[in-house]
Amino acid sequence: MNVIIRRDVLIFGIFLLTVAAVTPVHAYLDPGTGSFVLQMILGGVAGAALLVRMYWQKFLGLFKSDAGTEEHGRKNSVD
Amino acid sequence: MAEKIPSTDLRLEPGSFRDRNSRVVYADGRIRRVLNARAFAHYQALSAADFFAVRQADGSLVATRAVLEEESPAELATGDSEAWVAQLEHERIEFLSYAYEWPFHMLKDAALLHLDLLQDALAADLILKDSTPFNIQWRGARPVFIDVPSFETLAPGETWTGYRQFCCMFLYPLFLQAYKNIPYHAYLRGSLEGIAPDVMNRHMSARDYFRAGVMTHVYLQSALEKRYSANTTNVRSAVADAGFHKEIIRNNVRGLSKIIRALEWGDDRSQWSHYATETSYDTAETERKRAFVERAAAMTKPDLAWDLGCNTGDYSRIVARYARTVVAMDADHLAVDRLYRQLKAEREDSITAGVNILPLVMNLADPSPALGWRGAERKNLPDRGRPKLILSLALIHHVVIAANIPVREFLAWLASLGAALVIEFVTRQDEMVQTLLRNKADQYSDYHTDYFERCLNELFHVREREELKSGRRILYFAQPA
Repeated sequence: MNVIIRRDVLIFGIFLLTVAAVTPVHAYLDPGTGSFVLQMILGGVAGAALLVRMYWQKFLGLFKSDAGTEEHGRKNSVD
Repeated sequence: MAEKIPSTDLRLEPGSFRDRNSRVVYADGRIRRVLNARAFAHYQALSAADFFAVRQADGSLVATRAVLEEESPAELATGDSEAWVAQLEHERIEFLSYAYEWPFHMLKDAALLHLDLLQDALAADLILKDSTPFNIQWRGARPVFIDVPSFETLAPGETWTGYRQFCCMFLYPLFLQAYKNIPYHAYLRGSLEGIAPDVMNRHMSARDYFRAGVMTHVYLQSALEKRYSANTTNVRSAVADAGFHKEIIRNNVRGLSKIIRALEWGDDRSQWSHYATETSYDTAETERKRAFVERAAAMTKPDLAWDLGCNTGDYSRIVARYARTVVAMDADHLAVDRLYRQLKAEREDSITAGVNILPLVMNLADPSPALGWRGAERKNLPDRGRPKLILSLALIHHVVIAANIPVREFLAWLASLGAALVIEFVTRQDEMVQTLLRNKADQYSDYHTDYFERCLNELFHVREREELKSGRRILYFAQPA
């Protein structure tokens, strides 16, 4: 059971690190943001569902043209 | 019945300023907390929750009452920009201590209390807005949560803002000790913010990533923090809009509790008893030493006593029968941790046991300094309360020969505290001193019984003197000159 949960968590982590990887480098530092996202990863099924909802458009965007991603991803985009 | 307190008697607690919604003030020796309208609204929600009364009754939350309007001064002249609209009064904690002085199991129990209170709060649609161990104090071996305004109502979609701080100040220090056997005290004393995820991650080896909680709470947190460090959008509201709810926080809190409950450090229970018997006294001599300490304690009846170099706390226990509070200090983390676990086990047997001995990890050659902004947020050791009786048993050879502090310096420091003193001089004939000197150049011309007694007589009135172990150890009971 534990192993399965840990694997899920890892997959989500890797998913986030790749999908959410495009960020400009500013001097502005907001260490809390990573924690918000991590809390969803650690929030069990409820958190996972939320993450999927937040990142779904972005995930679909990987397979679409740039213009399409921009349009669909705006509302819930986190980065 | 309720007397009016003039505002001139109010004194601000210098360490209480970070929370802009409330401040701690002292009014005639009483602990008061002033609240602005925001904090007062949160307090009203808290006082309506069932757990607020339950937790005060079981002692895990500081006893708190709202101060009636007729008791409080018409105007609180704090000079703050905030308008203070209400006051609370808290029970007084006898002696303050900080996480960098707690042994492993104290930090662990403090962390678990924090998570338990957070669970209670969530059930009542409240949350603890921060997660610092400075919000927890001790009544003997019992943890008490003291920062009542940390409880706030949980807005819909709100995340656990204190999660990162919980990791930095509770979880990572516990991981360091349990997984790496690295004492966390220097880290927590070195930074009042605790250990950052990125710094913690760099302490982890490949093996550590397979230990419970490391991959997620350390590695992922550090990686995500880096990834999102340049983020300029409002993730907080994006998360709220997506429908973040408290079940997500609860799951995380439950997971953290489970990880922390399983953390262990030190040795098992069976070894405690051996430790206490491994002293260099035989039974009859031990009895004489105990009787000597008991006479001094009975004569002094101190409010506050310090046992310096307490080891497993045998003599703290004797003094505790006559004192209101005994602070038992030793630089040996393991010994202090053992003492705490014993006191905790006893406290589970009896409601009154272990309530007045506070065990702390403290190196007397380098006691806790004043820390934080202007050195006023965390108090140094003597500023937290002067003892009326000090025990310094089988300690001076460590202070003088191991830590190179001159005999006169040490006695002058003790005298500056203004307390009665029970001190044991371990002579050069004693095997413990010989062990310490074995690999050192003997440059301790002050470490002789004659010189020690000369200094002691200059600084104190010696009331009683007793030789033990055929004169190899000498006990003194002295009062301030």
